[in-house]
Order: sequence, then C-alpha cells, then structure tokens
Amino acid sequence: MKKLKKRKLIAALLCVLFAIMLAACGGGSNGGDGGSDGNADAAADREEILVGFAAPLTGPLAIFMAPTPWVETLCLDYINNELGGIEIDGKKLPVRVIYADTESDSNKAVEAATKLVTENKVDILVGAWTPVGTNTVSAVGERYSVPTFSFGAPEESWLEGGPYEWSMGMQFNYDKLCTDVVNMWDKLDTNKKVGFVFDTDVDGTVGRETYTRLLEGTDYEIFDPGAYTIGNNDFTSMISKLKDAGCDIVCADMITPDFTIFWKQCYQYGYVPKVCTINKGMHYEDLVENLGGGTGNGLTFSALWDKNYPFSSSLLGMTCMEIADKWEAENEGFYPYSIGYDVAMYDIFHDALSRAGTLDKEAVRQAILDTNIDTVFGNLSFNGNRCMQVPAIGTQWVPGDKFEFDKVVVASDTFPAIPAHEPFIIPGTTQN
Amino acid sequence: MELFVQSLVSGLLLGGLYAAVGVGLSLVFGIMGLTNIAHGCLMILSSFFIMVFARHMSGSVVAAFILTVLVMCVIGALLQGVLINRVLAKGPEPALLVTFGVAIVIWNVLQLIFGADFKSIPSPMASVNAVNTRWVVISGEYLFNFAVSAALILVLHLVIQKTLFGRAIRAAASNVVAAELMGINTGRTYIYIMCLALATGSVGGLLVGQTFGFYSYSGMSYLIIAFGVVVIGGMGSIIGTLLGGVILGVAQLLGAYFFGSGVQILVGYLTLLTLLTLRPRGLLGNMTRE
Amino acid sequence: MTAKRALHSLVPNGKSLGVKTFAVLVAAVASALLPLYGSDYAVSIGLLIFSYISLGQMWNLLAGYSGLVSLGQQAFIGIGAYTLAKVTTVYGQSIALSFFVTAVCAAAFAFVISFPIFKLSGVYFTIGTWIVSESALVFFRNWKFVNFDAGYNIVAAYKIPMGALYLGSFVIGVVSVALVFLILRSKIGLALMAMRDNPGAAEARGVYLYRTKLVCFLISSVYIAVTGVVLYLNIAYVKPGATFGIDWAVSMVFIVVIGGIGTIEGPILGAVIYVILRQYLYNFPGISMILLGAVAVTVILLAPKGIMGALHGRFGFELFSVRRTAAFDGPDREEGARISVKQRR
Repeated sequence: MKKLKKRKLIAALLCVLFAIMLAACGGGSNGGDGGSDGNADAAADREEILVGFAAPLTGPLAIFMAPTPWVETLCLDYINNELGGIEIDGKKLPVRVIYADTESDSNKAVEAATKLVTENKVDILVGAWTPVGTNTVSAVGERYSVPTFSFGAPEESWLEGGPYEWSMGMQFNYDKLCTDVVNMWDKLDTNKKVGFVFDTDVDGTVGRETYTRLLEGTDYEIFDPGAYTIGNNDFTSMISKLKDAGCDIVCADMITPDFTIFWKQCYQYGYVPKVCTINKGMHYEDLVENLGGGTGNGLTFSALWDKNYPFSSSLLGMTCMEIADKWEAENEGFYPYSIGYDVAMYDIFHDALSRAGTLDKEAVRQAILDTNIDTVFGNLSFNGNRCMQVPAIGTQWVPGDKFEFDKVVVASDTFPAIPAHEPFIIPGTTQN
Repeated sequence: MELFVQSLVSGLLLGGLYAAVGVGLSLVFGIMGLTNIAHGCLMILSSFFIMVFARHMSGSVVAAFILTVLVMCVIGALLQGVLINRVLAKGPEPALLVTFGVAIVIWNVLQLIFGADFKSIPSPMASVNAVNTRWVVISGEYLFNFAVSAALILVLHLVIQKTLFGRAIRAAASNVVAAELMGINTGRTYIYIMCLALATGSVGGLLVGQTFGFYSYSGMSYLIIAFGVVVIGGMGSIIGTLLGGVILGVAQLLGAYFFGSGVQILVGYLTLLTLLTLRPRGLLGNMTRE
Repeated sequence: MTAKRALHSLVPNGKSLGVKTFAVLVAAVASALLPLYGSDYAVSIGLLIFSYISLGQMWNLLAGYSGLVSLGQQAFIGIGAYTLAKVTTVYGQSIALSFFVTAVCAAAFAFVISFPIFKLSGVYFTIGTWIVSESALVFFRNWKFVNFDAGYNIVAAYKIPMGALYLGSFVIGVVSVALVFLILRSKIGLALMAMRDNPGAAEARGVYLYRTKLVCFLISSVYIAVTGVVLYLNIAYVKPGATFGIDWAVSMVFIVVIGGIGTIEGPILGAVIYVILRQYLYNFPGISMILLGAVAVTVILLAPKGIMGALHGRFGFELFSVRRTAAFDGPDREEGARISVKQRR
C-alpha cells in the first residue's frame, strides 16, 4: 500500500512538473522582449536593434567566421559609440548581434535560425557561407516572414531555394567566377587540356556544368575522370588518369583536406600540372602554407575579396587596403577574405536601417531591397532575384614578403574596375 | 593496363595503412568480444597527442610518438579498468553502448579544444616519389606506411604466439573460466590488451595523421575501415588484419578503376558487407571467442 | 472510492484507469493544444520533442524489445527526407502523397536489406546496419537522380503554418507511443518476450524468430522514414550528409539509453531531456553532446535501465503497463519476468 501511495505521488509530481513546463513554454512569449505581436507597440519600448546571425561557429565552415568578432567590434563600436546608434522612431538605438551556432550542419542551421527568430525575436536574420548556411536560414526567414540576409554562396544554388519573399542575398555568381578562371588560363601557355577534379557537392556539380558550357566551342579540351566523393583520401585513380591524359591544367573544386591530400599525392605520383585552379579549398594563406614544401606556389583560385580592390566601406570610410592592414596589425596572420563580406553586411544594414527609421518588418525588408551603396565590393544593389552579385575573380598565390605567400589578382574581366596582374606557371611539369 | 597495375599496387600499399588502423580493434574485438565503437576516436585522439607533443618538443615526431604511446596506455588502462570491465559481463550490447558514449565524448571534447579544423602531422615523405616507371608509380609515403605496418603486425604476431603474455591472452580468449582457474586474472589481462590495442592504435594515428590528416570527428570514418579490416581478416587474427587491409585497399582502388572515383568508398563498404554476410567469422578467424 | 470503481468498470479488461491514465490524457490534450497558448518558440521546441519521441520509440522497439541494436536507422530518415524532396520539389506533387511514397520506399528498402543483415546477429547486426546506412550515404552522394551531394530545398514546406507542423509532429509522436504499446500487447509482444527469455525454447514452441524480428524491423524502419518526412517538413533542406548522418543514430541511442531502454516512458522522457538540454546549451556548442555522452555512459554502468527503469525499480512506478525489461540486462531478467507474469494475471 505504501508503494502504491508513492506511485501516485510520483505521478502527481510528474503532472505538476509537466504543467510547469507547459506554463513556462506558454509564458515564453511574454517573458521575452515583448516584441512578438504588433510591431507598433513593440518599437516603442525597444532598447536595441537585434540582428540574429545563424553562423557556423564550429565545424568545418568555422574558418569563415574567424574575423567576424573583430569586424563586429570594429563596426558596432563605430555605429553604437561614434554614431550613437541608429535612429528608430525618433530614438537612437544601438545594434546588437546575437549568434547561434549552426555547427556547419544543415539540420542544426534550421534549429539555430528558428531559435533566433522565435526566442530572440530578431529584427534581421542572417545566414552565411555555402548553401548549408544560406539556403537553410533563408527557408526559416520565409517561414516566419522575417527579413533575412544571407551571403557567401553561389547565387545559382541559393536561388534554387526560391523564389524568395523575405530573403535577400549577397552572393557570388558562379558563371562569372568560371568565366574569370577561363580568362586566367587564356593568359598562360599550356596545351589547353583541362582535367576536372570535382566532388559531387553543390560547387562540384554546378562547376562541372558551368565549365563544360563555357569551354564548349573553344579550343580547350576537357578531360573528366568523374566526380569523387567528399572525404575520399586516396586519389591514385584520379591522378593516374589525369597524368595519362596529359592535362596541363587541373581545374579542381575541393574542400581543404581533400585538396591537401590530392596535391600531396600529385607530387608523390610525379604529376605536377602547369596550372592548378583550386576553388573552395585554398582561400587562406595558412592553408596554402600548410601544404608544405612551398608546393602552394602558383596555385590559382577565385578570390571572393581582396585588399587590392579599389573600393571602400561607406560606413567606416576605410579603403579595403586600410581594413586589411588594420586586421593584420591587430591580429596574427594573413587577412582572411571573409572580412569583406562581414564589413559589407554592416555597410548595408546601417544604410538600410537608417533609411527605414522603423523596425517594422515590411519597412526593413523594403529598405534593404532599396539598397544602393558603395561597399568594399564596389557599388551594390539588388537584381531581380533579390540578390546582390559580388566579385569572384581570378587570383594567384605568389611568394610574399610579409608571409610565405601573398595573393594577387590575375583576371578580373567580369569586374573590370579591379586591376589585374599577369599570372605565372607553376615551375613543375606535366609528365607523360 | 598500366592503370590497372597501378591501382593494384597502390591498393596493396594502402591496405598496409588500413591494417595498422584495424589491428588494435582486432585484438579487442577478437579476444574480449568487445565491439569498441570508440576505436576510431581513440586513434584520432592519439593523432592529436602526437601533433601537440611534436609542436612542444621542437618538432620531433618520434619523441612525440613515444610519449603518445605511453599516454594512450594510461588512457587504455583507465578506460578498461574503470568502465569497460564493469559492463563486459553483462553481454556485448551494453559494452557496445558504453564505447559508443565514450566515442561521442572524445570526439566532442576534441572539437571543443581544437575546433573542427583540418589537422595533420608533418611528414618528411610528403612529396617523395619513390618509384616512377611507365607501369607503376609508387608514393614514398605509402611505401613507408606499408613497411611500418607490416613490421608492427609481425611483432605483434610474435608477441602473441611466443610470449607468456601472449599465451595468457590466448587463454583468456578461448575460455574465460578455464583461464581464471589457471590463475590468470582476466580483468587485468583485458587491461593489458586494451593498452596494447591503443598503443598499436597510436601507430595508426601517426600514419593517418601524416598521410591523410584528420579532423576531430574523423574517428567514425576510420572505425568503418577498422571494422572492415577486422571482419574481412577475421577477429583476433593478427596476420589476418594485414590480409583484411590489403583486400579492402585493393577493392577500393579497383572499384575506382572500374567504376570511377565516386564509388571508391562505396565499393569498400559493399565488399565489407558482402564478406560480413557470407563469412561473418572472417577469412582467417582463429582466436574467436563465442 | 466509488468513483474510482466506476472508472474501473469502464475498462473492459479491468485495468486501472486511475490517476496515471488521467495524467496521460491531460498531458496529451494540453500538448495538443500547445499552439493555442504557447509562444512560437515553445511550439518549435514541442515539435522537436514529439519527433524525437517517435525516433526514440522506434529505436527502442528494436534495441529494447527485439534485441536488434541498430546504428543504421538514420538511413530511413534519409529515405523519408529525400522522398519528400523528390515528390514535392522535383515532381511538384502534394506533401500527402510523399508520406505514402515514403512508406512504400522505406518498406521496400527495409525488406531488401533485411536479407543480408538478418544473417548477422548481435554486434555484427549493429555493424552491418551502420555500414548499410553509410553505404546509402555514399550512394546518394553519387546518385544523379537525387542531384548528387547538392541536395534540395523543400520549398513547399516554407509556408506550412507552425501550428500545423506541430500537430503533425504531435500525431507522429503520440501514434508512435500507441503503436509500440499495441505491438507489445499483441501476439508479437508475447513472441518478443518469449524470444528474449529463451530463444531456443520460444522457437521450439512455435515462435518464428526471424518473422517476428523482421516485422519489428519493418515497422520501425517505415515509421522512422515517416518521422523523417515530418522532421524535414520543418528543416526544409535535404543534403545526404545531414539526412543520413550518424548524428541521428547518436540522438536515438541517447534518448533511449538515458530515458530507459525497454520501457515505453523512457524514450518520452529521454526526448524531452535531449531536446531541452540541447536548447539550453545552445551557446556552448559541443557541451551538450559531451554531457549526454557522459550521462549515457554513467547510466549504462549504474542504472542500465535508464531513468525510468530506476524509478520503476525503486518505486514500482510506471505509466504504461506493458513494461518488460530490456532484452539484454542480465541480473534483473527474473524480476522482469515476474512482473510480466503478475500483469498477465
């Protein structure tokens, strides 16, 4: 009988616990910052402007986030302290950025973005880097009808999640990226045989299709040994086939570890192509250094931002060169290109929110859509797909002064405002 | 034809590395009947140790490796003594789940400390081309891996076959009760086996770290390779792991030769699955415990 | 007392419809109505909880009751997600149809792979299922039909109201509990129990081991695939690495092991703990997994039957009375059998 009582007691306790839990959930809507319903009264007692950044703080994509805290301090310091905030409904409000970690995973990205929208009730939702970080967050923005801004993915793959109503993007265009890569090859003396090394991921599939289309009817000859699976660690078969075909140009789209192994094995198998274009995996100087033995010298890729761009940030009033130098002065190592994206984001948000003058969702969305300002990417405005196209231009790793390698722009025909140098050939040979 | 020979040779050499990855699991799996899901993560843990120690010991990978082996032995003793020995008697599944939990903890702790960046251990053989003929090209690194791994397996085989310690192990493997009656403390023997397994795992960690590099979460993908090696070669058969590794490596590269690089990994898995179904006890299984 | 007796008489087999049943009903109704009074955030959490309850229940049906410890059930989540994407995004058909197609595809796949993997037993089964699922992952990454590794956006799911998504998840969660309850009460449940206690004797008495296990495997697989559809209506973006990822298996194992393997309440409690802990520790990435891993290891060592098992052992408390002990815990097996016998009477 005693046991029975205990059981009942536990059951009752569980019921109470459950009730408390539900009540807590229910109360969540009032417990927040009170901005859930009715934008008008919400704005009146708002203390700050909230930007929610569903970001890959951990995982393989975390490398893109390396400069984000630094840029945040730089820009928010300027907006909140120098300018005193952004005027919303006649009152100057500071901007605050809240991060939620996507762990570089598409499932978690949705969870993180949902949490930012529903719990933190952010005014603008941000998602970044690769389709995993952008398409997912854009989807959440559509579901909850929140102004959503995403960047750092190919425009083509981002648009596959559209048509968007609430999501806006700042992406590079894969077509233009590939065009400049081909322009770069044009400047070099090769046998015009291009060997593809693509994985089956987004960039790989889009890349294969785009290059094939661009090279059709030219005197380039494509050799395609077939795609490999991400995470492969033996490229014997691929390298042997490329070597057999005598390709002077290797056109690769690989993540860093895959390329690191691939490139090492190229040397191990005595095959060093004259030109190697590696997208996605070799954007950072320390990664190129990590290849070891100076084998990174002469690798070409599509830079997504460079300090030699002749542009400046309209918010900070600094040129690209000044921003990059400031970063290198205050941090260790070569400046990461993702600085450009982060600074441009603050340029755009500051401009749009100032023009909107309110936190009404519709007004904020419209203000962002009306953007037409000078940023570290040059002048940016939206195209019909709600996307701003930013440059992705042919660049090469060359021996540097300050660090082991430096990068120079070698082909910028799609964005002619950016000056370009002549590329050179890797001092290896294609053996048969 | 050249490409076929090339695939065969590279696959064979790659198999050596796979054997080094799997041999520790073979010991644990065959003798204790423990499905150590944490094997891959423990191996990657040793890779991290080697990397960190090497950085602090003026880049001496050899010294870092020796220190890592010692550290891994301590970890193995703790793991076996504190956790696994307590659940082994309850049957295979609880032990499997414990190691699964340990694997998740290790990989997330590594991620917490080192992030998810790609790491590698510096290798003097990184861009060495050992043989370069029309028929076959051999990578210096692969050749080195195969040699190290073959030597490791030979030594391990001799230890198990010829020494007193080896006899105790084999006794524990074939009959726990009888072994205990003969005065062998199986609990302690298991601890030694785990230490041995993790020490050999460090060799795998070294070779993988130099040849391919690693992430904090690479452990799980190497676990499949380790299982492949053990299942194909036969649980508890030390020489069998070399055979298992070679079969797996050759299968992968011939798969790439015939069907393209995309299915390289898939062919490895399917070979493993087929052999698992047809011969669950492996090709050379002998020390199997029922 | 008379009221209670009256309640008793309402139930044909004389089972008690007391505080517990009342509590379960109240909880169910309160949960179903959550979108009416809860915040958006609460609804999004509730949605996750019920989906994970379903995953937990189905993994428990295999590991806890059938002795089939599978680390490959995420293959079916992948199948569900990809069927949804294919049917809605590529072919422009309705979401309702995708549920149906998913069930058919999952059943077919489960049936086909059952031939090789049912040749394996014990830990070999575990390894086998895991390799099957990893193979499926690599296969999808190289399969043109599913757009390789590039994945799809499920655009049709953007505009589903959260309330509706929540209800879908609620139904899938509640039905999963009911389904496992009914299975255990049926002939299959008896067979499972006999099988667990003594496979040899059970087979001699006419229990078809293979068929019973196969039925459980098929049910679990199909139901997990359908849960996958619900999950990906929420996530709205499919990619092989995420849909076939080992993370799903990790969550299923944690939910069941921590909550209580071989109990119906266990996965419910486990799912609540799992989802809430992860939300709570959102800004400390990785910590929640370390914590869950450590808790799971501790639970297996100290209280092999999880939290619910410990509660039951201590106080004899249980919500759903079909409880049988886990397929693999040795010392308490007799106690479990005794309780089962008592209940049968």
